[in-house]
Amino acid sequence: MSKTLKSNKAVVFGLIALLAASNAAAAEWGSVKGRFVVDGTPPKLTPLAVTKDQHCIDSKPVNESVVVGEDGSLANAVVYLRPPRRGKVEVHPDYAAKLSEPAVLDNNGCSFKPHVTLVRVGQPFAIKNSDPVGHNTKATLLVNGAFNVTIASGQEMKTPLTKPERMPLPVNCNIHPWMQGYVLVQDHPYMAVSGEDGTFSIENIPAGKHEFVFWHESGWVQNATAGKAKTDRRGVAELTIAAGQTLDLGDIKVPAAKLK
Amino acid sequence: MPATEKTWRDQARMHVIFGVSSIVMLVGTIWMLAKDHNREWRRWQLDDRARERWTIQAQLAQEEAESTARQRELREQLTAAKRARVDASLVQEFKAAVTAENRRLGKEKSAAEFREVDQSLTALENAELGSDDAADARANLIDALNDFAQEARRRENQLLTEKKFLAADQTAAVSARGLAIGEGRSTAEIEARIQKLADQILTKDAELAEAKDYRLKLEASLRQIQADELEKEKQLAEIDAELDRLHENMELYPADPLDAPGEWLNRLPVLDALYTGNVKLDQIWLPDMKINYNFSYVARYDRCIVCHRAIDKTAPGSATEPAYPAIPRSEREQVVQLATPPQPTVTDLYGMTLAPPAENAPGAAIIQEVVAKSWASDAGLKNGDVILEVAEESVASAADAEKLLVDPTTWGEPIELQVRRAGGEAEEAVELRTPTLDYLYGLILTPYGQVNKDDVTVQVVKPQSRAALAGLQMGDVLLEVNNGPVDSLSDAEHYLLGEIKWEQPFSLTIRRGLNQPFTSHPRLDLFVGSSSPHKKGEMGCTICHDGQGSATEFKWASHTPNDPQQALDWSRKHGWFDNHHWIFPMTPERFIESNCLKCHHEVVELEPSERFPEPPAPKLVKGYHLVREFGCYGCHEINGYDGAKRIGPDMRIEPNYYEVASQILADPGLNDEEKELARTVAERPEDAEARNDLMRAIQADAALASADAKPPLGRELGEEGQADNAAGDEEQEARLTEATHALADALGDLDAPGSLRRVGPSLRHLASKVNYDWLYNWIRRPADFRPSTRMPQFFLQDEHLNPKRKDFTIHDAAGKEVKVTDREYTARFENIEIRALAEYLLAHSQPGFEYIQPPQGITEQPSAERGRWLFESRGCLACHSHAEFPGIASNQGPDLSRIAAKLNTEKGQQWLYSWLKDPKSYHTRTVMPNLFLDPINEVDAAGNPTGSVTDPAADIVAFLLGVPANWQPEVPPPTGELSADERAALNDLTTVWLSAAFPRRRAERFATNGIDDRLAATVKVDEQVLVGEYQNDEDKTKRQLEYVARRSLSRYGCFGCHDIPGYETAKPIGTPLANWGRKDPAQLAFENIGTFLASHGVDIERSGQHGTEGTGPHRETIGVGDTSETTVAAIEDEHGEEPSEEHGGGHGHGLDPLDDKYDSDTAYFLQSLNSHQRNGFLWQKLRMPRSYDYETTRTKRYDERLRMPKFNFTDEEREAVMTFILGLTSEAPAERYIYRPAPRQEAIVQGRHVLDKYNCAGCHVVDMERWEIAFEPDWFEEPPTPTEYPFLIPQPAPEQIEASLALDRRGLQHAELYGMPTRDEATGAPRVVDEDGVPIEPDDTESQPFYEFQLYEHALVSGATRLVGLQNLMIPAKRQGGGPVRGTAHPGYGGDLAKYLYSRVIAEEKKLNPAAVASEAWGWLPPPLHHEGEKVQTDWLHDFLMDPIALRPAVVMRMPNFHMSSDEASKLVNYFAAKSNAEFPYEYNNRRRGGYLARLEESHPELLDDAMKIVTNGNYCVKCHAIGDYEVRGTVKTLGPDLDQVYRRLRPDYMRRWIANPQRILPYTGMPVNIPYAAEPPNHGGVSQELFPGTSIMQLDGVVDLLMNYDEYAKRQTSVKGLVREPTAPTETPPAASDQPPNDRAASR
Repeated sequence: MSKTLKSNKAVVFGLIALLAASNAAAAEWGSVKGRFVVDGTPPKLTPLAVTKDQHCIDSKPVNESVVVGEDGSLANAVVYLRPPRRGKVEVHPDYAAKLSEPAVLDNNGCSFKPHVTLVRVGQPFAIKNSDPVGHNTKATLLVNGAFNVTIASGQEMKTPLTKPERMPLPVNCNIHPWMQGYVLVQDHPYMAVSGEDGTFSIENIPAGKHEFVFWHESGWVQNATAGKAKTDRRGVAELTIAAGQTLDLGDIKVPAAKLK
Repeated sequence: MPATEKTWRDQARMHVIFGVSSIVMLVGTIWMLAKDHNREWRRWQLDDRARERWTIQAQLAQEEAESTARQRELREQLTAAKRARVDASLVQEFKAAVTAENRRLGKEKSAAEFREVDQSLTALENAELGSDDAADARANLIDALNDFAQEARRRENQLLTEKKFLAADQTAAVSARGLAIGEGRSTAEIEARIQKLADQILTKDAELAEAKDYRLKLEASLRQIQADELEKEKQLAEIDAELDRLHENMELYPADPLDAPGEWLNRLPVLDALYTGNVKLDQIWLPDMKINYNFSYVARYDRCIVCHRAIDKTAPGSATEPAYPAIPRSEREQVVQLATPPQPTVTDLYGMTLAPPAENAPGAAIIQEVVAKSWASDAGLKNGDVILEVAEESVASAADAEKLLVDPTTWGEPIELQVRRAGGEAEEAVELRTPTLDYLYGLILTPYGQVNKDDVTVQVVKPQSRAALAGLQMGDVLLEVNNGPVDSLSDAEHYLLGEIKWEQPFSLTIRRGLNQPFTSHPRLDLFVGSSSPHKKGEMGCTICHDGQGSATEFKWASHTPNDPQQALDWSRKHGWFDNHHWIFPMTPERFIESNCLKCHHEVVELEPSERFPEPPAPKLVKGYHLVREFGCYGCHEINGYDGAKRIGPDMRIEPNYYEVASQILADPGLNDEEKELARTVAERPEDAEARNDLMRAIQADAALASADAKPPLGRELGEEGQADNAAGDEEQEARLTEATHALADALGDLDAPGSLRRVGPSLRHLASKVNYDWLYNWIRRPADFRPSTRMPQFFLQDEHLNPKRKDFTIHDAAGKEVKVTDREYTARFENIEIRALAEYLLAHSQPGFEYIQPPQGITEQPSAERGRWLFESRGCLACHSHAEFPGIASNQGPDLSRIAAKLNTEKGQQWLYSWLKDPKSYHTRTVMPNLFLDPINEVDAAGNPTGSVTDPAADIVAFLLGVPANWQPEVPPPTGELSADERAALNDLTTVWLSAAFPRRRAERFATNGIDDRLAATVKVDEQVLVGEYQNDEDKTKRQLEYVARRSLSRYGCFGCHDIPGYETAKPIGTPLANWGRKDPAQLAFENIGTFLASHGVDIERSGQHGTEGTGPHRETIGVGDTSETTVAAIEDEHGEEPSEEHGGGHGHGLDPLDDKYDSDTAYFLQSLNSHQRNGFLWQKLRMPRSYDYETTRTKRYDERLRMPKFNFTDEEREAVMTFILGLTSEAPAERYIYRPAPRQEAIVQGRHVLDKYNCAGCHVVDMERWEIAFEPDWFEEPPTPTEYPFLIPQPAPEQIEASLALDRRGLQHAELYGMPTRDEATGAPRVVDEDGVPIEPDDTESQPFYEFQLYEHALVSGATRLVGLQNLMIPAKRQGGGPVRGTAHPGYGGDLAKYLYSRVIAEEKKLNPAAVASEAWGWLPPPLHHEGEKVQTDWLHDFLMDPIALRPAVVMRMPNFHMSSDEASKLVNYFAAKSNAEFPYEYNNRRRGGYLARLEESHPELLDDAMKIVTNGNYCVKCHAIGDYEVRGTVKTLGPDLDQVYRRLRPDYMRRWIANPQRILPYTGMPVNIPYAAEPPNHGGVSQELFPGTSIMQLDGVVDLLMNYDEYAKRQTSVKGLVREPTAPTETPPAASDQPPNDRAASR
């Protein structure tokens, strides 16, 4: 558990560090990419019991707890950089512009779109309801505080997120209990969700050694080979980002038995 | 006769006699004085004073250690303040005030007036800041200013004097006027003078006021100028005052006689009798707290405090923590880890740097730089000094010096340095301070202890130091450091400094705590303390402890040892002996809680509470509950009343109305009305009206019967005629049986009826339930079928019976007399008794019980699989345990694991089905509730009916009877006819019984042939069975069996626990217990118990099969007892004062309690038995009730033997029961001492009884856990601050915030949390996570474990409010045993089933919905009741408890119907309201008053309709809640309660807070915020204005108003007007009702 950064001083230090980073022309950057694949036959998923609202029944939401492509690619897996405890990571100036773009979590077709939402601290976080029926969004955030608010059809709510969370956390709807999403809040932009083809990439990471966390909603991606590194029991692998280069982790295999 | 020297006696001899006797008297006097001077208590007091002195010295040292730095800082600040510049504007203000005053007085002063002021001000401004010049200038300035203030004061005084003179003149004038009037002179002149003086005084007054005003202004101005230095001076003075206080305290405890010669003088022999000094007798006088001195009640004098001086001393700064904690001996020695710092450098330590080697000349170490205010500068070292020697070792280089200076072996004392001064040749020795224990650890030790002279003891632990963090405390005795013994202070320093390994902790073995009498009371929150409910001066000591309060010597105070070893120690050390002559010896520690019962008659008030979370009397409370559970009161009346006076706990069986009414119902002669009345009484015995009606009806019938028997007198006939009017004009003949008539009186009112139900099930319809085989075995030995049963064992207790000696006569099958052993004799009779009882109970079972038939329309066959889940989830496990469900065990009801072996018969199955459907139909007084096992229309995952209908009761039956129970009885029950031998035994037993009524010969004859007919009128009820000759052998056997059964029932008192037909009015058979705790041991029949134990040993396993001979450890010899005498004698010999008879060992034949093979508990009780004390008697009575019959059976008839059954108690349970029974003393002290709770507390106590009775806490969490935690100040992050309705955010008071930020000595903060740790969804156990909140895997032993504590009440932590439902708090968890690492987890109350089911309902739900949120599962289980009082309306809850409705669709079970009485329901309602501090018994609900709505609708006419728009809008309420005729679709887990009825159920304020943000009340709820609040005007958030115009708060209130007035809203939506039809023509037939006789009306209702 991290202790309170002694308020102002820490913030000031942080700012200085940030300023120093952005001013430092000498800072060098690299990227990482990879692809999640399922190792084995993926499990058969329980179909969702859609019990409420004709619109939902018509929308036919599907169980997204494991989304596997035909070639075994695993979507909705998350990779994010874990800064050292009480430390910060330098952020590439290119990301500054994106900070003001809102991260949107949409209630759409009686499911959460996207399934995993990535939010940076300070980035506007908007929860939308594009459905013609009412939804509520229950976000079990640990550091930013849990909330559960009804979002009427066509409405949107914005909520400030001021602190990074330690892991992706669930988002649910109590009216439609089959709905399940996740949100990851970090105070840096170095995080990615694998697409339908299982791939992900994170760019402009400061060169050097970093810890990266590999996560899927079935749990940490443990003991998996990510390039030359291997994840530990907490899904953490130490990767070395070389300046001006893209580190390709290749296929990161997730055993099918792990996906419940 | 010549005169001689010799007169009457020989003078010489007389001189000798006088001489000798005076010497003897002198010696006697001296001896007496010496004896008085050396009384024991003086020694204790002197020791105590030495201890007190030590403590004050330690406190002084502590205070000095803590304040020295602060003082130095303050002094520096003060000096600086005295040299600081002065704000010129303040001086200007001062000058302005002076000028203004001068102007007012018209004094034109020269400019020179302020010259001095101006000069010094300028001087101050010009002086160098902080220089001496500045100080002088400032002092001059202040002096100059002060002169003005002085002058003002002087002038004020002068004016005052002038005014006094004027006033005196006036007085003189007034008296002159009086004289003048008397002398008849003119007074005009004097009058004028008086008037003038009065005017002058007025003027002076005004001047005086101005002058005073001026002075105050100047002084205030001066204070402002000096504000800073005055503040510092004040703070310094405060510290000085505290130190002075401690110094003064010290003076009260002089160590040296010269310091207080007066005191030492009056402690000298003889003088001490004349003067009372500090060493004196002390006592608490309690005139109202009488003690029983045999036939006379005398005020108590408790002198315990003569020796127990520190009994009420609290730790500094705490109101309840004991100053000298009484720590159990076993926990005295502790090991703590003392951390060490990283290795320091010379610079770190001494504040000097040595020049690098390059700059050093060889052979020297040059000091390069000395930091100011360092140890080096203190020692006078200067830059450039050269160190030549360190501690007499010469220094060759800087490295040498460095090595020597950081060598810890030289530390502790200042070290001597030989230096050559910079630039000179002079050599000088300087002393340099070195690190000490204080510096490194914040620890100061003393070489002597508080009581023992040679203990190396901790004197000071600096706050927030390493020693404080290690947990060391003042007074700890240091025993070992890293296993090395510490015998002296230098040892300690040697280890802790010399052997330091940097950054590696030391392991210190310490001893904590003092012996009695130097300790403080361990529970000062409860006892003795000034804020406790039992204050020392009000309660004294002996009311709780007993003992001889007036004694001042250890042995005479009747201290009672807790075990024989302690007795031995005491007798050696203090000359203790067992004083038989004092009837109230101190209660031994193990039973100390017994004495609470004297004043706490309801017992449950001693449960842990919010004020006293640490259980006040756990053993006693446990004993009380055991007595309730085992139903001891069924046989042993525990009457809490002596007439109208309450004398103790009242535990009596409730009136037998139900039993009587049930028996009356069996009478075929009842008419319909009587039947109805009897049924009502059986179902609701509290209905006094029905009961009295029934009684009168039966009495009327009985009167007819007696009229039949003997022709009544005319007068009586008239009365009866009236009474029987209701029955019409039929022939007056009794319809009811005599037995029914006899029962009528039992229906009458009682003054103070008991309230407890019989603990056993009803046997009234037993034949409808069980078979003979099972019943036989059950009666024989209940634990055979159900090991956990509370039914005691009546038979097969034969340990005490002689297996060898054949001295009992029986008749064999042939009628010949044979001699057998006692065991054989008893077994033979018991077999008959068991059989007779089983047959009798079945044969006399009341017919008429109708099995409940399964309802129509069930489509599915019973399924054990469904039944299993229903059994688990419908609440059965809240009261019953079952081997199939090992995770939960409740003993409210029986263990059902083997129920199949009992009920797997056709009737058993039918009975079980009926019982499950409606337990009341079988036994209306059972506490088993109706679980509403109605048919279930099964639905699919989407909530659509599948068409199949199942019967849950049938499913549960299928499960219970389907669990294979391959249980077989120990012995097969005898069946068929009795054998010839059994018949002979039966005949013998009948004879024995008849011998109680007839002489032996006749008894034998009557048994064999039946009782003579002519005696029919005189024999008792039971014997009636035998009246008349037997018709044949079969008849004989049958009648004899019935007779024996009836006698056995009466003898064993089966009806104490069971409802048995025909025994409705039988009285309890056992000894009443109300005064047992004071029962004279002389009245207890110890008989041969010593011999029994000596020959059989203490732990006697049952000797196998009944009747078998020779098993078990039987020794006929008695020899062991002698050892006990030897040992006890040995105890006495050492003391050598008391004759051995005093010691209770004289009875012999006991076991030696000091034998190593006995644990201390057994030893204690053996000792107690040997001394013939109650405690020992009771112990053995509860273990082996019949063992007191050892050897006495030879002279007792079978029916006279002891009959107490053996209960299945564990040792711990037995001691708890004993604690309760020993506390029953009927010795209630004066009324004002009896616990009389305030109404709220009383409601809690009364409600607790009902909660316990119905086991509400089996399902519901009634109280959450309360955790008191300590943590480092930066442990918890700042909480998030959500945008929230302002009324939802608690506003703690500033002092509360301050308290939550306060640091304790260890530097930790404290907080109290209410709630519970989150649970693992797979196992249901509290979740243990790592620092990231990720569950720790079982094989992970490295990660530090944490609990996530979920709050159920807002908490104040580190100055910030933690809101419910926002965030869980991470609390470091103990690796073993659970609970927080630092702090205490007080357990909650209740909810075992909810906790057990938590993981299971999640698993069930996840089958349907993989996205189910685990934390919400609490919403599918019985709801926690911690907010119940503030949540629901009292009248709703009352009705709900009496007749629960289905409320929450999502909950897997529903609240069953306990059929509680209105009185019980009210008590529960009040309980919950009292717990929540809510209004009760009524609450005022403003929102439902007519005027309220009208007022609101003036400004918002469409209020209800608009609010309804929110409710019915497809986005909000109706997504989950049904309302009116609208129903919601979807799985039940998403549904909430109907909204129609909430206006009856919820309190309006609660509803408002709930709708505003449900998670702030229940953290687990899935209900969202529907009307969100925002800070921005104009609307502050809320829902669309189109639905409801107004702010979010108005919208919220609108919805609350609508829901609170839903009935009003519904009324407005319906029209009745159209339904009313005016009659079109007059009716033709007149109403018939008035013609009917009143009786018919009554019958038809």
